[in-house]
Amino acid sequence: MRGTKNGHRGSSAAILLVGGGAVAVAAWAGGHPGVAAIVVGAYVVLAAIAFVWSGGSGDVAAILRGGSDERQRAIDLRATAAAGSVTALFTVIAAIVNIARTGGDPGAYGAVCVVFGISYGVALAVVRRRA
Amino acid sequence: MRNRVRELRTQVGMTQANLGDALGVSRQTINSIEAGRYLPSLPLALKIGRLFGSPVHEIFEMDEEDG
Repeated sequence: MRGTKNGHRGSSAAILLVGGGAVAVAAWAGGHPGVAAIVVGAYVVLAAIAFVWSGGSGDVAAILRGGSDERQRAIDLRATAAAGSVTALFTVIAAIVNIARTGGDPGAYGAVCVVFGISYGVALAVVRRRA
Repeated sequence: MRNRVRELRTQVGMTQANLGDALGVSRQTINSIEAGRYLPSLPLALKIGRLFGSPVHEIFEMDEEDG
């Protein structure tokens, strides 16, 4: 089934395990071994869910495997853009709330807003050049 | 856009899964194309035309509202 089983079933699970492992190591290094253990447990469960889901033949399974066709890539792209927009909106609102609460300091949200703005500008320039 | 993909597929006795395999896309994508929910890329449309031995403009037609 070339069209429905492309990609690697363990892709998303591996990303979750690596990401979760990094968070757990950070928590451990920060002196919170209990939190590290909880993080490991949570990410192992999430990775197991991703692995099982990736074995299916649906659109989401194909996207999780990284072996999607053009329509599934378009779905993934739109979903990523929607999630990015929601995250950006949340970050801007959180920065504004922080400024109001602290009298001028947006905190880490301000840095995220700057990174988002710069990375969007660069991405726009690069993508426009290729299109 | 209207298209004749379902009609041409059934004429040659293919399932959506068979056609998806032949074109290198999923069964769900074939279903979406047939239902008019998804417009295939030009390369995929050309592949569909080549597979059925029909020019693309005889498989995909513009609706009135498409201008």
